[in-house]
Amino acid sequence: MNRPIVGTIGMESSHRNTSPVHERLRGQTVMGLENSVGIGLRTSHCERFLDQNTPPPVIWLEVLAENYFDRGGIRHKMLCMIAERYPISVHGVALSLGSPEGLDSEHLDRLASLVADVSPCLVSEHLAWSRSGDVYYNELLPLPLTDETLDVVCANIDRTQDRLGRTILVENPSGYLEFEQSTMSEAMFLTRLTERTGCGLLLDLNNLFISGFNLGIDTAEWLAAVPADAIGEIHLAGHEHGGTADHPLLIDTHGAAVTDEVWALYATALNRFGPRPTMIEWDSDVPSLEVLLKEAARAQRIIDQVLAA
Amino acid sequence: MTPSRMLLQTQRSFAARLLEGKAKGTSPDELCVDALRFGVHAHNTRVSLRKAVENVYPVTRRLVGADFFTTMADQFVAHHPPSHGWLSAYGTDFADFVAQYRPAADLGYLADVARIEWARARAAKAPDAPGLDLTALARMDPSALEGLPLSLHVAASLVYSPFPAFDIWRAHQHNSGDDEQLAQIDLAIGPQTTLVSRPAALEVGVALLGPGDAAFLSALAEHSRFGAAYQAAVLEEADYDLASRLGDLVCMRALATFIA
Repeated sequence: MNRPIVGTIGMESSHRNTSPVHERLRGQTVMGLENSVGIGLRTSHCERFLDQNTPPPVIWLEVLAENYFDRGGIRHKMLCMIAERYPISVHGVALSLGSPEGLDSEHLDRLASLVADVSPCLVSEHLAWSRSGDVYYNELLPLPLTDETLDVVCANIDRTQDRLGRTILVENPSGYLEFEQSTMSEAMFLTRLTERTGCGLLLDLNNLFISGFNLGIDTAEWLAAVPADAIGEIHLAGHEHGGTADHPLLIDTHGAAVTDEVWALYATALNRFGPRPTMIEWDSDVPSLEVLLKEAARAQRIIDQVLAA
Repeated sequence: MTPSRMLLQTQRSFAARLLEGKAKGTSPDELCVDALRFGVHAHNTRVSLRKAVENVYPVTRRLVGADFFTTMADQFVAHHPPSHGWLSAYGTDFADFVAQYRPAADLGYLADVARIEWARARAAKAPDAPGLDLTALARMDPSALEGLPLSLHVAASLVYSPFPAFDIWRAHQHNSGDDEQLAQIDLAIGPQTTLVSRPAALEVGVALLGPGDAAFLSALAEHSRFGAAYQAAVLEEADYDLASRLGDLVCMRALATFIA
């Protein structure tokens, strides 16, 4: 089969040099993926991607890093086989970049092994914490956005990037609550992260929309405030309505189609930033592969429209 | 409080309430966060960890029903939360928890079925190491065979149960007609030893062992030498045919390679 276009640029450790952040990130752009849409690789679809005769028509695939942390295990072996044919983006959900206790060394080692094994086109994590003491909570928990937190997250990103020998993208989380201690906006916090560590940003537009609804963040202002060149990837996903009648909240479920509002936000973002590698994130109540491909095709049409304009 | 301690303290207060499992509305007062909003995180935490347990133990869940399992798994999560961010290691002590879970006390086989399920998860995540090579064994000086330290393959586990745990596990692979199938299994037929292993790179195998195989592998698992393990097998099964049995066990990749 034709191997999809894959850039292995981004393996070099360039985040330590002193050139401006945007210059450094530009060197890490994944050739050929800017204008393309990927989907998440889910266990139920793995065999389709291993099929030599009719490989599904997707340019690249994103995996949840921690699902492949057992080197030599069945999942890891399948991923290595799939990675020979599709570019892979490694998306971590549990590193806990917001932990003042520091990172779990074994976690970082396992992430580094995975990155070595599949040579991903992109590596990303979240602006969140999920560990405290000896317990891992399996949830992206919110951080007070202060100078202290900024120091903690920067130190953890530096350590991650040093260990992996490459820069990572940091994703904006879905917001449900804010802390009174916060002294800066999320957009400012993320911008500072890129300036201090050389990391890029993974812009999750569903999360941004949810934070807009739940926390009153002005999404247009947010998009105007973050550095365009730092955006290395975009996520699109579905959400559900929760909370109560008096206090409605939007809940990030990754278990539904992308909503019309998020599609509109996507068009707005692309008009500002230009096309970016975009990924359809649907990891609970996973539908058929065909449904995911249809969502991907819709995103691709929007990219093509922006490119044609 | 020094500034660097503030984030640590915030997270400790936050974390302390996440797994409490009380009614929605409990939030750490000292953080001044809205209870409803805190509840979203607490709910997500509990449900996602419970689902992680469910994913490993689908047959255990079928045997007790979704509601019973949810209550049991929620209690397990609250008392045994994971310590690492990769959840393939999570749930290793669930079978022990089930064994002492009082509401399930009359289901003596339940913990053993859970042990088979954990053994499957363990086999799936184990390294794909080569198994015993029979030709290497054949090349050995026969006088050295007796004292050969053979061991189980890194992906292989034995699950001994005083109940027909293998039959129960196998009868509940699908949702339909499970209750009838359980009714057809004679719980008094005696003990079963199940071998769970990784016969091929992308495959997990589950097999019921005969008494000779069970004795042979159990002895090896307890570090008996080849000769002593064979003697243990013959005690259980007088006509134990080692040559043919070894072939089957090697096909299941039950045994590790050895260093001669």
